[in-house]
Amino acid sequence: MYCYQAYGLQVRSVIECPELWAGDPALPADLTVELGPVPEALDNPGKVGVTYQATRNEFLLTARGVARYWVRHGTHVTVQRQDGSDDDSVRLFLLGLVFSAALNQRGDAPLHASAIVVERDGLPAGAVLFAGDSGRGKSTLAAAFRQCGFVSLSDDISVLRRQADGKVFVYPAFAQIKLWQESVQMLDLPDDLPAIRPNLRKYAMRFAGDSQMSPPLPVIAVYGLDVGKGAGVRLQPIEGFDKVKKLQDNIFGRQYAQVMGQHGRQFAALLALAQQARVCAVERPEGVPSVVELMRAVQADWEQS
Amino acid sequence: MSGIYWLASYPKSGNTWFRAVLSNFLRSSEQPVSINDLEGGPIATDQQWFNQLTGLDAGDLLVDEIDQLRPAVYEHAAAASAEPLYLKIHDACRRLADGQWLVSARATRAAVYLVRNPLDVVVSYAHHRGITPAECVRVLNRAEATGRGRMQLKQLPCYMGSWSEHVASWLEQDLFPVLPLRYEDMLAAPERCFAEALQFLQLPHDSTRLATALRFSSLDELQRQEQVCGFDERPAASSAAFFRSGRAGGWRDVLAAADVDAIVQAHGPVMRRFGYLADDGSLL
Repeated sequence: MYCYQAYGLQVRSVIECPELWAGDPALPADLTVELGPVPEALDNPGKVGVTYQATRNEFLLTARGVARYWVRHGTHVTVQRQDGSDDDSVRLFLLGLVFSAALNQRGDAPLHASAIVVERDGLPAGAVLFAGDSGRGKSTLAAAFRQCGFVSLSDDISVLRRQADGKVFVYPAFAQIKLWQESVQMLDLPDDLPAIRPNLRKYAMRFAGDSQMSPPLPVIAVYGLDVGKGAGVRLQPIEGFDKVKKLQDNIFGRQYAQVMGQHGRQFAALLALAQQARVCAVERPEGVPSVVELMRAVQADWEQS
Repeated sequence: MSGIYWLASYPKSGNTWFRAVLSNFLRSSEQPVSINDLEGGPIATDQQWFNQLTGLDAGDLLVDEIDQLRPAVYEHAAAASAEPLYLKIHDACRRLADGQWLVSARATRAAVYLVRNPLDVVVSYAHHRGITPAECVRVLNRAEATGRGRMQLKQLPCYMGSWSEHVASWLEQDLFPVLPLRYEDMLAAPERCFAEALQFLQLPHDSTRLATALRFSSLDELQRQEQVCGFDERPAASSAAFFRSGRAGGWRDVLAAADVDAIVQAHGPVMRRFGYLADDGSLL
């Protein structure tokens, strides 16, 4: 069993995951990942999608040709690999979609967002999140900031948890950012980054080896990224209840989260976040050659807030 | 009864105009329907819709994996809707590597297939993609996918095949009924053509309602709307308005002889079949 931590959880896994930060063996496991048989279907699923089924406490995902995953109570993941599957593909779905199902089951609020650490007076002060649908530029933006010396907390899925004092923190996920080939080239990254899966032109920037895991941090701002028709970058602060709606729209796994019965708790976290953090809608033109203007816009916004 | 009516075509063959007329007919309101709110969406290759229904991120999937999930996505959508769905599609109607048909017969009620003179398609599509007519000829003549080299922001990979292959793929299958409609006929005799289409779609016959729908979808109206509020489906790379001219035969003013020859050479048989080429090889 390998010992990791991710999303603030102690993870014990029979599958080796070099992306994950090392865990603390003295602490009890929050989430266990094992290999084993996975049922064909769940009893009375409350929600059925094309590849998944969900009940209140169970989630089943089929990634054809890769593996089937069974997540229970937010504490146990069983993986049944399919013939011919490769390790990278098995891990890709495990660390993203499957973990996010577990987080939803636990009542956490996983956002479809990448997060970086921002400092004030040289010390970590909080986290800024870049949220949005796939392909909107969250990872590219986070990677660009990382290149400028910022610490990356998470990529693609950022977990929010309300603390005892009501503040909403985001938890470090793991030391990886996934980038399309175009972004790798735009950011002038090495051309020998490993592909996240065989035959896919998407690559992993991995840095568990040369950095330390950040502690969880309070969220300062969330920037919802989208592509618009205008010529430049447009940043629009969101006010009032629209903030909560924007955040809800970015819950990862929201199509089945409701069936898991945790939406009340998630909603409370998003409500608290809306009160504590800036939420802005940011639009950029399609097919931009550079991310600099976008970086300037968001950084200027969080620094003056 | 539920199920999908596909609004199928090679790009720039009148699909949007058809959807505008259909939308105005269905909604029958006092004002023209907004061009950014037409029936026919999400397009069959819409990535967010795919992600939502599969629970996956298409960005993490191989092209084959995406393709092989699409039939189930359409079946899922059809089953979830009590009403028929109208979905625009530019893909060729083809068989996938695992034997499934991309366009699931189980999800499908029928398809309307729009055909337009490929010479006019070249002119229009070249503007749409911001490329030269000569480059566009190569696109129509080649079995080509829209490609994954550049990550497609909102679209799944779409395989069209060459123009002739595309037409044949939809019209020479026996999975579900298809009504072919010539764009030029729609222009010349809109009341008759659209009435036939609406009947095929099992919609009620209502000539007054259709007349209004046609008026609300006139080129003038579509152009006016595009000027005022933009058209979401017009790509950033486009070198002209989406609703540009709409006429038939514009190719004569624009295409070089070599481009015309290349199209005729590649697509003669299908052009003849649809009355774009006479038996003696002259262009109609």
